[in-house]
Amino acid sequence: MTAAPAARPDDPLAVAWRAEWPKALAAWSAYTLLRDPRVFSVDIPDTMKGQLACIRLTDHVILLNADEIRARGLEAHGLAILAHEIGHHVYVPGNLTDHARHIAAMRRILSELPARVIPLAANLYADLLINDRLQRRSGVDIAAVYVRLTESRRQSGQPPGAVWSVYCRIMEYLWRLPDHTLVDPGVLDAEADGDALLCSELIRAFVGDWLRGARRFATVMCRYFVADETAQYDDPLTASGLADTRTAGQPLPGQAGRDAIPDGLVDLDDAELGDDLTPQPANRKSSGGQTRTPFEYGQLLRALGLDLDEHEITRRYYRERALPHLIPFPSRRHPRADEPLPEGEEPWAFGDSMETLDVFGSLMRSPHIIPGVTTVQRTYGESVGWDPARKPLDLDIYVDCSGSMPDPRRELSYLALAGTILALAAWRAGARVQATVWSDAQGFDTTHGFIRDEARILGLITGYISGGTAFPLHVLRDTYAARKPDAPPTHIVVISDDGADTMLQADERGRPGLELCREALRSARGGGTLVLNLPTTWPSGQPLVDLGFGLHCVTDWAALVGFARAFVRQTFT
Amino acid sequence: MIPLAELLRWVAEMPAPFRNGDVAAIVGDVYEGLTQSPPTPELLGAIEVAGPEQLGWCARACHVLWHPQLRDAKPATARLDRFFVEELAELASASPPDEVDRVPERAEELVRRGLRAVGVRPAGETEAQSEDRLRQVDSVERRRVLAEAEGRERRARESKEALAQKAAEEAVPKVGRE
Repeated sequence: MTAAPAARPDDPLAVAWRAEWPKALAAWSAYTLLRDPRVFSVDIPDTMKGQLACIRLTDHVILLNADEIRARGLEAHGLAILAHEIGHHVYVPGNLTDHARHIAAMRRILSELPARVIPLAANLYADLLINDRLQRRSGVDIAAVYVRLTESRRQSGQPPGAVWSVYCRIMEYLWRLPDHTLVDPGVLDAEADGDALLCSELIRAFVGDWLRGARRFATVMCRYFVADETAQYDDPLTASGLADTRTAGQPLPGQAGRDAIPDGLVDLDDAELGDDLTPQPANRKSSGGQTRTPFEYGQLLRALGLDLDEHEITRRYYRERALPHLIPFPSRRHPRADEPLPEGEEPWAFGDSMETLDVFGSLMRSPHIIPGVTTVQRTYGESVGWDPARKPLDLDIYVDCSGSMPDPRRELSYLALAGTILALAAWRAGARVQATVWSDAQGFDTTHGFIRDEARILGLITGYISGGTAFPLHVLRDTYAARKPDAPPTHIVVISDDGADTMLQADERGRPGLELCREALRSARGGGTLVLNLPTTWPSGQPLVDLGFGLHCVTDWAALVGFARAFVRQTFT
Repeated sequence: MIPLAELLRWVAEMPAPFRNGDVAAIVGDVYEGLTQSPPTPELLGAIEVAGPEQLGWCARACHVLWHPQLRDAKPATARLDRFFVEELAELASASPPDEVDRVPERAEELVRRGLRAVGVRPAGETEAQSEDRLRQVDSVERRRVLAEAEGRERRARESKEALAQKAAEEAVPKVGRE
């Protein structure tokens, strides 16, 4: 991460505002801890231009634009602005996951509007909650900031948009400010005035459960967002320099987007849906287990400002869905453990791994370290241990993604989910995984070998090809033709439907599929399982069962997850 | 003034007679104990015709008001009447009385409403704080606000449709030109 530019050391605003910092923290709690804010007056980052401040939830930092604060005449309002920014970290949204859920709640009502409206609506709602808390309970004069901004706007002659007018009227209601303190006379009709009153009541009703009120706030304010869009008014928060959460969810400078994805967004929080007024039974569980589709998940991450490709989004989605289902991966007991025994030294030369260089041993030979001449590395033999060791089976998994299968990028694919569960469990157990997604003989993708790269494995399993159906026999053939006798045992898993009977066809060289499957099973030495979306019997596949493949039929794709759990119990206990 | 935690504990330990006893008799006893006067005929009449949900709330409210530290409160009878007749009827329309046992916020709401009825605040709270907190847990108010907000959904939908219509109309001449 590059060092951030900062204020001039003698900048009086920076000095004065840093002195207000402890009071701003105390406005929330005596135990609030946050990093000191960073005040910029030189080399203002592009994301902050025109804005008073912004927050970053990834590293809990507050950034202040000294030039903009001065330009708007807000130098004397350090306590209010600092306390407000702190409120975004400790109250609304508080963290990246809640920030994402907040955006998701607003999207439910505002998705037909331009994308920039949704974070604007979320920012407005958050600001009202924070400001009301500070104004009424902490005695911080937030209202004075808005009075100052209103004065500036009136002096400039700039007419307010509908959203800004209603927003200001909400504050007049919340804090019982005299009429027209913030709202120009004659701007709001009776209906808009009623909406402002309703929003002020919403703010008060949901102060302790803010996410649940977000959707209703968006519902009431929707027509005003539409009015501003129609009249082509500028975003009022940006125009006022108050869009402080616009970049809250973005990664740190130099950080990849995938490292800033918050956890826990696959599942829907019932608070995003808002309160349901219909009476619920006493034993109703919250959330109802609803989840987002991969498409919705991707939309949400993009709404947070994360620049991610579809592949990364899909991989992350299935990984998060798989985690609750992870099971111990099968392993086999080896008769004894092998323990390394140091036996001696041999020369270390350029090209050998740096980790194997024995520096102490090299210095013992000569005080002058000359690579390839005086450098040595230790050699180890094996010592027979007494305790049996468990080693996991490697996993060779083939996931059908022909045209009849769901596209994992758009809707939930249980095949991709089951494959992810198995692959993750294997990877965590220390096994290697070869993953292949297949549609037909030319339509396939594979890791081309057994690897431990989780990102690559999952990225492949969650891919999609679509097309005809033909099992890639050549991949199976070539995997085990080149397999050494002392290679770890491997379990072969094929997830498909009746298209798996293409395993019995001939390969491109004319060799029967049954013969190739027999050789693969023998060479793998770890067994095989066919997991097929079929009724309980599969007559055309009987030859494969006779070879030794286990057959697990599921009648709907959701049962694949149950298979993943049963896999260990049935095969390896 | 009593700590809120103490009253919440008191509610949690509510004995069985307050859950399924003769509510009219309980209300009468509590009312007379607090005000040194018998319940008004209006109050008794309202209790007589009250449904089971409201009676459940009344019984639980009586238990709250019968806390030893509230027996000397001497509330205004009009305020107490309003509490039993109007407030608890509104509560009954919003939530079933057994939510007091299951939902901490309902228990707190009942306690705070009862305290307000007898003119007492929880220990350590100012009037503004007490009022704010009651509003946060006020299920009746929340229900009203949600219903009003829900009524705006039709208007939101219409405004979005109008925006989409306008965008479609503006796109047509552009397509024609192209």
